[in-house]
Amino acid sequence: MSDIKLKNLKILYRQKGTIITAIDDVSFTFHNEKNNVLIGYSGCGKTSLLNAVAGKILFNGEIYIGDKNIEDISIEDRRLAYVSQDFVLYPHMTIYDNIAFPLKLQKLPREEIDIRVRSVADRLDISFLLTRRPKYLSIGQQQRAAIARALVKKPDILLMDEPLSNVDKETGEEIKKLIKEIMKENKITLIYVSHDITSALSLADYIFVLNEGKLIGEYTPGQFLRENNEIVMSLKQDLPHEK
Amino acid sequence: MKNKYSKVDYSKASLPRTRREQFLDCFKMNYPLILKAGLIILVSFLPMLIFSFLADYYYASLMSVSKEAVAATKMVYYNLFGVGIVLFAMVAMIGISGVLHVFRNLIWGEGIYFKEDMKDGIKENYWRNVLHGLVCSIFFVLAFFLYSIFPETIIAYAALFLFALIFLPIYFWIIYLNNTYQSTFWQLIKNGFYFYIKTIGWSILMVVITLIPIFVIFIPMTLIYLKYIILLLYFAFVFPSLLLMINLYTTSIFDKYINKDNYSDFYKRGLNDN
Repeated sequence: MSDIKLKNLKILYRQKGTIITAIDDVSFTFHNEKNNVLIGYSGCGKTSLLNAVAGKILFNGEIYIGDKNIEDISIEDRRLAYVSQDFVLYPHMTIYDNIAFPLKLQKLPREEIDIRVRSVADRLDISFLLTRRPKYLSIGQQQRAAIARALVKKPDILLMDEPLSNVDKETGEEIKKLIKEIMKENKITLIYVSHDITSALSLADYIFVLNEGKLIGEYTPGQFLRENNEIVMSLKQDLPHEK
Repeated sequence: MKNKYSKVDYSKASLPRTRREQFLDCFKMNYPLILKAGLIILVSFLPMLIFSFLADYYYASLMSVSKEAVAATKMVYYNLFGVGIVLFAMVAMIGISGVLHVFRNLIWGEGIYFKEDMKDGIKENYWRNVLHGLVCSIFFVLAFFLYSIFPETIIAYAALFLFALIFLPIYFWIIYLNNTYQSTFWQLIKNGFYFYIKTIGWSILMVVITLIPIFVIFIPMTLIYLKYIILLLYFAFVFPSLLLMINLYTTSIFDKYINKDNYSDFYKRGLNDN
């Protein structure tokens, strides 16, 4: 696997006749096999950027996986998996069928699908939920199932768009810890979008701060805490303070 | 679109612990699957229903001709009807073999791959089910033959009764044993008889509730379309549920008498053992 490079990336939307610039000519690199966290205020372009990497929206500029332009690589060959904050599971399917779904689409042999589903369910501690339907699970359990569905594909790149925003703090902490462990075990490149600074600091190897479609800076957690930039200082105000 | 969710974590303790609990649980968690199975069952019974409908139509048209015409053709009609039902039952057994295999995997908590499981069920079990069915049907045809020679007499009813009370329940056990274990022809007959004797009351009840459609013969010919609408609904919705229920019951009996000592992998498989 390789770094993910963004070159002169620009994302535009048309809204009620007006052109809105979601991402304005950014160039930077997400680091290979690291936890890369995108933070910024609502509307700064984090989700748009993630969707561009996922191939869900059009963009100007270039995105490279290693030295290959992302537009020259098919969706399947990008080896991407995506977990959104809504983590929609198919309500009429069991958790087993939900997790197995992307593998069934690839027409993998049944035995292989079964091994991979049970292995990833075991890792996420949801084996006993495989025969249940989503509506009987809590949000935290559903989120684990959604993460399992992403991981079962054995992706090289995992994209997560505020996956813990609907989950309570305690469950969120458990899932964050699990994400960190799994990323490390499987050498996955994580691109994680969050508006929560505490999450970003606990999870990230690298923090990318966006504001109004532009990159403000790239920091390690330690560098982020020491940074005096106006936007970063404003974001740091959301951190819990010592009494 | 957002999923509905529970306010509390689903706990392992809520998983079904007995086959009885598993019955309702299967409906809660897998109703689309059971509906799919119902469609397969209906399609596999359709040739039999069409045959029966045409036979009824023919018989009804005879009755409008003369009593002598009815008397002359009754014996031939009953025998041909009996043979026809046996032949079309072989077709229906395709759907039953497949669906039972799907239900077995459902009960065992396996991942369900509907098409593959159907194919596996048909491949592994169909011919043995048909072979035993043909043996059973010899007695069915004999009973029907006796009925045609001595219609509406005690001999005729006794023959049908004997068939329904002995051969049919044993055959039911054979189908479910065949769905679970690899056995020889004679082993299945022996074990089928063994389980019939062990559970004689429940076995007869199993046969009675499965043969409920027979009671539609009491619907008069003038309401022939109503009769077949009832049958279509029965095979689409009621029969698959019965198959599942009986599958769960027989699995609980296998757990009790076979699996605990001889097939530990199968023992209470799919149940919460905590």
